[in-house]
Amino acid sequence: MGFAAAPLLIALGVLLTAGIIVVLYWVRPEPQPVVVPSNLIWRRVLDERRRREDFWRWLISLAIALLAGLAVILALAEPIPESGARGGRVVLVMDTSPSMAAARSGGGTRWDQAAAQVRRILTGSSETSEFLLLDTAGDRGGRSFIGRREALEALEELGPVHGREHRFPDVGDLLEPASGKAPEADVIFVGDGVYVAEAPAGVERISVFEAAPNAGITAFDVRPLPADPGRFEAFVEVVRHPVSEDAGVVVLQIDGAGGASARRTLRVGTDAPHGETVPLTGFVAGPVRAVIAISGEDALPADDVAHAYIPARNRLRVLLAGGPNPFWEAALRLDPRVSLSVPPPGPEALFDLDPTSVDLVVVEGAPPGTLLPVPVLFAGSGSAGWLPPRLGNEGEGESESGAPAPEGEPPTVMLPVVRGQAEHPLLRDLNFDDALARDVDAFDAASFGARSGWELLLGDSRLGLLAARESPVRGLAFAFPIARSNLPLQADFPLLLSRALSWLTDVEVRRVGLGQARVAMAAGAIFDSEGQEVPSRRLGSEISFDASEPSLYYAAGGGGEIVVAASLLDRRASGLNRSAWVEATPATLAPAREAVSAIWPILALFALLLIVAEWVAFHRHATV
Amino acid sequence: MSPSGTLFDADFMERLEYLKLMATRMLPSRHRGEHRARKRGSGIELADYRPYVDGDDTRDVDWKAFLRLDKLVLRVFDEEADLPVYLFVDRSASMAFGDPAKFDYARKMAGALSYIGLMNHDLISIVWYGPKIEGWMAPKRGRNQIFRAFRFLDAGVTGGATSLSACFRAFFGSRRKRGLAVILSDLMDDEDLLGAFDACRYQKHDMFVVQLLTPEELEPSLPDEALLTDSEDGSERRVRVTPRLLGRYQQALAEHQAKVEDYCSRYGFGFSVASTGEPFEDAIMAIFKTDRFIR
Repeated sequence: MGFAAAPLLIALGVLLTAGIIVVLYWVRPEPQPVVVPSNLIWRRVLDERRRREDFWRWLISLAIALLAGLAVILALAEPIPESGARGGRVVLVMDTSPSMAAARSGGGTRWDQAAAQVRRILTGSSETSEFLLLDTAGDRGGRSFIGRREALEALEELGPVHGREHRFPDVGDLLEPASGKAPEADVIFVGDGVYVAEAPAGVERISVFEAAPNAGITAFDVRPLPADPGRFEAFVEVVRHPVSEDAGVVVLQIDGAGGASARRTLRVGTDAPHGETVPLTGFVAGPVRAVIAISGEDALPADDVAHAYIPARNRLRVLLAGGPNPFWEAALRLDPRVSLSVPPPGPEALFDLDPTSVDLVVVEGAPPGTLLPVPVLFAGSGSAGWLPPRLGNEGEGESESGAPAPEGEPPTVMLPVVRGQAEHPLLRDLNFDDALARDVDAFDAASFGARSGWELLLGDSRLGLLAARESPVRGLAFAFPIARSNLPLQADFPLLLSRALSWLTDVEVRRVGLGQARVAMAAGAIFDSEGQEVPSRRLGSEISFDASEPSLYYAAGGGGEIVVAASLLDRRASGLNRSAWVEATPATLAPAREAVSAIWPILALFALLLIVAEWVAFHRHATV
Repeated sequence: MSPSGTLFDADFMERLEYLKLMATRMLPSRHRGEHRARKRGSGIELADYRPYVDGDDTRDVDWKAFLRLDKLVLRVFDEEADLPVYLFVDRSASMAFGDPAKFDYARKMAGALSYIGLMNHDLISIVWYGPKIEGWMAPKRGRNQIFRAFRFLDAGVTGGATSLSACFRAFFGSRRKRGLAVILSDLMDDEDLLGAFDACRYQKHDMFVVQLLTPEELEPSLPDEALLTDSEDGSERRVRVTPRLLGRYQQALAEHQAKVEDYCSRYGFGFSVASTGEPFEDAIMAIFKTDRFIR
């Protein structure tokens, strides 16, 4: 038999209790003086009796009290039966995949059951046993065997891990030593067989799998309508894994900012994903949450909710720098979201620019000398430190993008899409084959790279004509004045401009799975939806944090904000009934914590019975 | 008849009249003293002879005369109208316990017995005893001596140890007229109690022992842990009181009483136990029923 409490603590408890009981038995209360007519009869009684019955009664009573005290102490120490005790070296591999968070019919989760199994193995083992505790997520590695108590402590730190690749750890060297000797250790794999089913030969598998009803969201996306970037629709994919036949009804509720909501009753088949597109009419920019519900129990609550974010702004405050510009003014005013302001010409307009009052600055002509704190749409020539380097005059008329120019006129260049950028959010499905530009002060295409922060969208291997940058502040730079191009005459230009406005000003949204999430932000902090800061750490140019619950997180810093929508959205996790292992029967499993400590109530009851028996025996004069 | 002290008040006197009446009713055909003429029969002084008739007690046949005369002749004795009654009252410290105190109870019994005896013209003598004879009232006869007896009893006080054997050796060491010795005591005498009785028996005295105990002595009620102090010798005994211990006490007390009772029964003496929780008349009546005091 083992104990959950420390042996030293148990020994101290036993000694202390026994000491107190013995002292209490030795220390008799002060007698009450009573004057009697004569001690003649008492003397005869006491002389005959004291050394026999009294002593034995006292001794038996002391023994009963000691036994009761010992039983109470042992009960407090949580004894554990040593059934199936293991010795030697044991490798315990814990399945920490997301499906282990599924609830079981008897209460608790598959992980709770697995942990209880391992706890039982640990506590039931001999003191000299050594353990190697590993997990499928690779959080625990190495080959250091530890003692029983250390293994128990390490077990408490483990749990289902999302967003990671799960696989059975490499324990081949322990199972098949190179020397051909017997395996160095017993290897036990405790899991549900959903994510990780395969294990090397010789590994003992303990299944905690139990079929459980579940419905989950496996995809959730909020996207603008292609014909109207200001309106959005949501795509939701739902799967359902019932244990028995049912009506297959899943209620989908989508809630947005400002009280907007949409509700659908879906009929979802068994084990087959069901896709549903829901127009988000009346939804405004902000958080969007999808929640599903089924009648009856749901084994995995984490996949019943998914988060997204509508990034578009309904009103864009655009500052047109460089003085009145009829072309830009007309083009910008075509977008109903734009609230345009045109300050007088001069650089003063860009001094002390307040990011809270301006969403976007449009500049044509000379570039601002410094990086502005708000997104910039720039078109024109001239160099600035925040812009990509220019190619200079040497590039004129020598590019493969160049087109023959009439005598005396500046050369024109075509605007080809850079290879690999056709699917860029700004350029997707747009065609600028007929677009030309003059007065091009091209960017040096060779200078673009990962370190510059800029990426080239239009141009060729030499000339950079349109560049985009996401951080630290989004920017879009044309290498020529728009007015000196036929680009605005192209049919797709309004769409390009609308996308550019959205791309430059939309809130940046990242969708991540549950688990450790990373956000590209050099410096900043992570906040949850309640505004509480979430512990995070910086990894180079990224911030890492634990998104363990489906929710929205906000990364703020460096003048920008990134919304992180964390949802499970994992078909394998939601398909938690697809196990390659046989279902565990209650007989093969210890009912979690209760079985481990099943002895302590018996001991406590035993102590109670002893005390009651002593009390009844005394007061019913059975023994005194 | 007015009482001579607080112990023997008007209520006590009324009870005495009741006892006197009860005594005459209990034994209507066997009067003694003024209630009947001299009777041949149950005394110890030979008075006459008469021929034997059927129904006579064969123990009184004079067998020597039968051998000489070849006729059954019966010896007739005088009634012992003046049989001395010696009332031994224990006045040790242990007699002061109880409510009423055993000593008061004993004095009332002694007063009642004196009254009945004096009314019957018996010789009544009262003896205080403790470790020795502490005082005594010389034999008196006649109803007019009752107040002397009451005053003597009323003046008694308790204290000290007790030794009945020392008392009897001293008292019966002198020649005393054979009579009835009535011992009123709690018998908590650690010395040779039966040896004391022997001293009385050897002098051919009749004896009646009354053990007086309080209800507390019969069924003690003590705290769980008690230090018992003997009122006579001051000795202390610490006890952890349990129901079983109390049972053993009662058993030991019964054994103590049984020893005295066995002795008395063996030698034809009377013995009774009186609880001070009961009226003293009941104890007196118990004595009467033994035919020893009234014959």
